[in-house]
Amino acid sequence: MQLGKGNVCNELIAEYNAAGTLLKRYVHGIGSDDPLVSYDGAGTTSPTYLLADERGSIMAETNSAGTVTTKHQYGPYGEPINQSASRFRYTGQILLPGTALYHYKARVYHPKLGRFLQTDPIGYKDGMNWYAYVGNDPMNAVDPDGKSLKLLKAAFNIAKRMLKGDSGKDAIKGEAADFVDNVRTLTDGEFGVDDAIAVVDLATGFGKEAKDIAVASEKVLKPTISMQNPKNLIPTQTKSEMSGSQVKRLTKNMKENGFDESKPVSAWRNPSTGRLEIQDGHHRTAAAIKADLNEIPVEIWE
Amino acid sequence: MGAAYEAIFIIPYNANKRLTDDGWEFDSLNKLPAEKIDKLITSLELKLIEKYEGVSVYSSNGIKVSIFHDSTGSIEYVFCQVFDLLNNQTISEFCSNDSSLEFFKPA
Repeated sequence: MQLGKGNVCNELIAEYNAAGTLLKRYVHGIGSDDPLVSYDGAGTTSPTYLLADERGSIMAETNSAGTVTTKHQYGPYGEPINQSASRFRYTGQILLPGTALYHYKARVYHPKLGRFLQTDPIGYKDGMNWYAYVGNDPMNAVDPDGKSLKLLKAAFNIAKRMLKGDSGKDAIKGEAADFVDNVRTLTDGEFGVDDAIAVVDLATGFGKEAKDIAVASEKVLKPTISMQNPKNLIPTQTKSEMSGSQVKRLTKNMKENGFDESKPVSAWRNPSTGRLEIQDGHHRTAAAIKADLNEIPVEIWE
Repeated sequence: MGAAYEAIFIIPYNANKRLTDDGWEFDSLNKLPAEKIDKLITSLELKLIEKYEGVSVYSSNGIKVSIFHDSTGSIEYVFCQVFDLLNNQTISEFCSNDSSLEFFKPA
């Protein structure tokens, strides 16, 4: 397994077998424990989209057509109910293969017991019970790395109060000092004052950018379908990468049956030219032109 | 959304190749052995997704394979659209083990 380094936590980004062959790749969102897409091997043509609930638990998986391929169910403490080889499960954590245990980075969590199997690295700062999971309130809280519920709340609290203009007050200075101290303790000195300030800066200044990214992602993930003249679509593959016989047979089929509307051509609108560039469907587009079709369905990605 | 692919053709050995306005076309009196192509389908874990006009289209992770049959059902050639280049080696090795097949990758 290969872990990507982040400022706050490590995320699983790829899996290799013993021979060094790339088996799986994962793409994560900007938050922690936010796996979004997985790919088999090195390609990007068969994505599996991971759909999470409000706690970040992966509830379903879909293919590129939006068809649900896997559904997941959990008990109140994250007990996995269904069998699945899926890597990311309850609260977006890794379900250790062959067990019903979750890898919460600093600790291993046993959902049937509702307890961590190791003591809390932050000691009494998160309560008297060093094995408890999120203060025994799994419906309302998550613990991204087995130690940081309070830290996370503190960071948000400070960011929220700074946004309201409280930054000069003594109370917020005290909270910020505690926050820096906790960051230093929890990360064994790896992160200090500058890192803590950067986190608060990020939380207070990132709002607009995060929203813009979310809106852009929404557009990317939702193509529109419209009827287009196939002659207006720009090929991105040359004729030397196409099968002439396939174009001829598709043409014959289209002349007899018309264009199969359940299989629209995929095209990307090039922002610099505004033109639609074919991503998938070169043969169908060429056949539609030869069959004298004036309009075909095109799935347009912006 | 799809992505650019690399084209690979599996054709009868020494088939005549012509690049037309539509793409590659091949002429040969020989046909491809069906049992060999079945093995390729198995080794690439391909699943049938559609059939039309004597073409059977299969796909799997990172590859789309179209098998072209003539009017008698014999296989004329195979067209592989390779999105994940790891599949190239599998197809190349598959063809190198049989002298009746030719691995043709347009330059």
